[in-house]
Amino acid sequence: MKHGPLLFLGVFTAVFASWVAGVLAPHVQIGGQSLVQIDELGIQYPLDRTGEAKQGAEIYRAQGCHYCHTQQVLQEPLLSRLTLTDAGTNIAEVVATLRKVRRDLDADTAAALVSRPPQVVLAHAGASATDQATRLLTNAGAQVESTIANLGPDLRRGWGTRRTVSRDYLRDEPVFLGQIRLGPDLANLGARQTNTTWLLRKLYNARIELPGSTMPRYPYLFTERRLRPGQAPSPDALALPPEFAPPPGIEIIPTREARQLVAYLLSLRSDALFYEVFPPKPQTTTTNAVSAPVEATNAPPTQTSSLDLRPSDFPLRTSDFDLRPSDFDLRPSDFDLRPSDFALRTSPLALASP
Amino acid sequence: MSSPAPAPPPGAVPPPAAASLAPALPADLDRSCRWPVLVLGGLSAGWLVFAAVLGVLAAIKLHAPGMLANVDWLTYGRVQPAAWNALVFGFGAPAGLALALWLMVRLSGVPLVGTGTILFGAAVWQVGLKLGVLGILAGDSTGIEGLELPRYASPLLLAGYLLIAPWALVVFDRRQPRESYLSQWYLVTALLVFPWCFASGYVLTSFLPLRGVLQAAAQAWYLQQLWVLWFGSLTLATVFYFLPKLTGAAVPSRSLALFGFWTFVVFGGLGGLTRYAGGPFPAWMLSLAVVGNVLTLFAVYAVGANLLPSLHAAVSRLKGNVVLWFLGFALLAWLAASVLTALNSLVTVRHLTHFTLVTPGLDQLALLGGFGLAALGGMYGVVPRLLGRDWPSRFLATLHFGCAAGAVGLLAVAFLIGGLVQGAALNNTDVAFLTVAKRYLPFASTGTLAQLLWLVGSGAFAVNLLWLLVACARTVCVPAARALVEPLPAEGKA
Repeated sequence: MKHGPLLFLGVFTAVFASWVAGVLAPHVQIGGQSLVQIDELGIQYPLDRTGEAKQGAEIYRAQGCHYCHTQQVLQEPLLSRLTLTDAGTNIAEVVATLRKVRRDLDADTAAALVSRPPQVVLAHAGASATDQATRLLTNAGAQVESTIANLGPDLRRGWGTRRTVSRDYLRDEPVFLGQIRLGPDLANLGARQTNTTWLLRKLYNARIELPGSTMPRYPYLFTERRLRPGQAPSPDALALPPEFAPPPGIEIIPTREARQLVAYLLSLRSDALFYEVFPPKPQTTTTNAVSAPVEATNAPPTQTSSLDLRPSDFPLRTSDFDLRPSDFDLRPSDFDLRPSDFALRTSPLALASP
Repeated sequence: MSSPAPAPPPGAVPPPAAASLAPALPADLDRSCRWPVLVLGGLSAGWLVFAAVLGVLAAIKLHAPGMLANVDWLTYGRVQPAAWNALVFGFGAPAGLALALWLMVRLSGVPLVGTGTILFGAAVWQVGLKLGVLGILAGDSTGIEGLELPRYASPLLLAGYLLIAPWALVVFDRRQPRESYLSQWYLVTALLVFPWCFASGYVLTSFLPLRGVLQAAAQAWYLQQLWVLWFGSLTLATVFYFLPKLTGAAVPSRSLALFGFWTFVVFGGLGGLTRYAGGPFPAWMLSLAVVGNVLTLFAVYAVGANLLPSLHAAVSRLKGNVVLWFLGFALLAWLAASVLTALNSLVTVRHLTHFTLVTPGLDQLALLGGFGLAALGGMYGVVPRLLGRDWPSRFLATLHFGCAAGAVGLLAVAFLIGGLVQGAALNNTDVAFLTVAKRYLPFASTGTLAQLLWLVGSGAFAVNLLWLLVACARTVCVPAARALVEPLPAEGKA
């Protein structure tokens, strides 16, 4: 290659193209996103943070919390589960259709499934496969019900109720997406933890609330104060269990930075629902042969207007989200408010009496 | 100027493809760039040790969360980025620039110009970086991973770079044989990419920040350019210069090399967003990233097919050559990192490795293993030529290679396996989060051992370099001092 300028131009073009694709095009596409007006709540989402929480974000940034904690909830592509709730009258036709939908089933298994509804006939299926199976089975006279299932480990861990989308971060500066989860995700921390004292104790020493935790201690966000003999303890002092408590006569007071950081942590939640985060396709249930036989035959589901939604189009039941008590991992100790949490350090009566 | 022991004497090998056929004498060329290369290289050696100390500290803090917890300057979230920046901008960039200057001068056959400006640029860079690293430790980081340098530091680095790098391009433009070499193409790419991605990254996140997640998109693009097109290009430039020179076998296929270069440049920069796979971004961005990462495999193939056979053939012949060890390992690490990165961008794999130790593991494999060992190997080859004196301790050099290669291997294996274990546990929601942490911790602790090894190796290199510089200074200074002291009695006699 003898032509330096040609080399220069080629490299320049390649880098420029990748810059356009990686930075400019996304900016053109979503750089003008506006806040979401949620009329029901009378708010514009995402909500602006309070001044204290904004200062807390600076503390979060300075301590580098985002090197261990992400703030993004992921969700698997929506998958559905199809349950055959009623086989209708034409059993043979339904069995044959079921075998078209599920080619892995032999005749006996299919017949057995159809004979004892309700039975799950499709699990972890994509939207189009579910739609097609619904149409086929409904046309055969059966009644089916489709439900959203399997929303991904993040949701099952209780880190959120939905995936996070770009609009959730419009007020964040900088954005703490995070690349590694050495600690749990914090995108919805404010939704699952509302106890200020708990968070302060966690920052002072994470092992207080969760023995074995690997989170660093942040004692420099607290000050140790020596009490003069006879001096009443401060109402702001952090209540600590005996094994973590300082020697008598010394109390641990959260600094303003610690309180700001907690205010920020409490402000972390991205669970508002708006159109971007609704399931991409409305879930269609059957028009079933029993309640509306004529409609079912005359108007195939393909022609139904997708905007003509009824409550039954969202047949979500509690069980669909498959939350078990263990998902919330709350143990009695999580609510373990010690008497000292409520203890007023100076007697209120003392103020009243002369 | 005596030839160093690690590299074969120039006359012993047939003139390889990348060898300089310059009209100017190599000694004159070396003299023209001696000071800039030595200053940049020496500073980078110092930063290498400093970054390794911080790296060890950060690694220990990962599994001993109570250690030094009272010192806010040393909390994990500050030491970790400080170590990263010290390594990337303290060691990586100056060492890369030093090698780029030297390689460009050697391959172009023209002496370096602008030496004073380069030294001034190095000083500006150092001031900026020291401010930046202190700023990060003090809590002034910008909060964007990889772009942590505070606003008062990052412009200084860019200014320093712009005082140094253009002179390499000037030398390239004046090259004596108009034909250019493969290494020069990679160098031109690296030199062009750095200011662009650095400016784009910092401007779009710190100075005129984009809205919301677009900052993260700009960051992902910057990291990709920095990792693949800057460090990757420097790695390949060094490897493509030294390996054919050492093995004496020319690069077999020029067209394959051209193909590899252009696929590398075109596709290498596209894969950034795999860092945020599944995140709050338009879906096409991730698809593009996956395509880019996978298509980069063409370049990986071209590089491997061009270099591995000659390396393999020469291994037994050049058993004792430290430079070859470093560069051979660097080549293998770069190939492995590129293949694993492509593999890691596939959705099914990413599902398991997302948010785990695999991400830092691959980054470290490419940075320490690929670029780090290539740059260090380059230094082992270049410094003796500049000083006209061989390395004082062969043992220290061997120790360095053993420690560095061991560290990279250990770190990569521990983090990749640990990442898979962590990912499997994260995806299994029956496993409580604390148990997830308990499962990845042993692997993170192994990372500490690797960082310690890396520190020992870096220390050996720094001691060796210092020893060499002191020895050179003595040979220069002692006669001069003697000349200062001795004339007196001589005059007295007269």
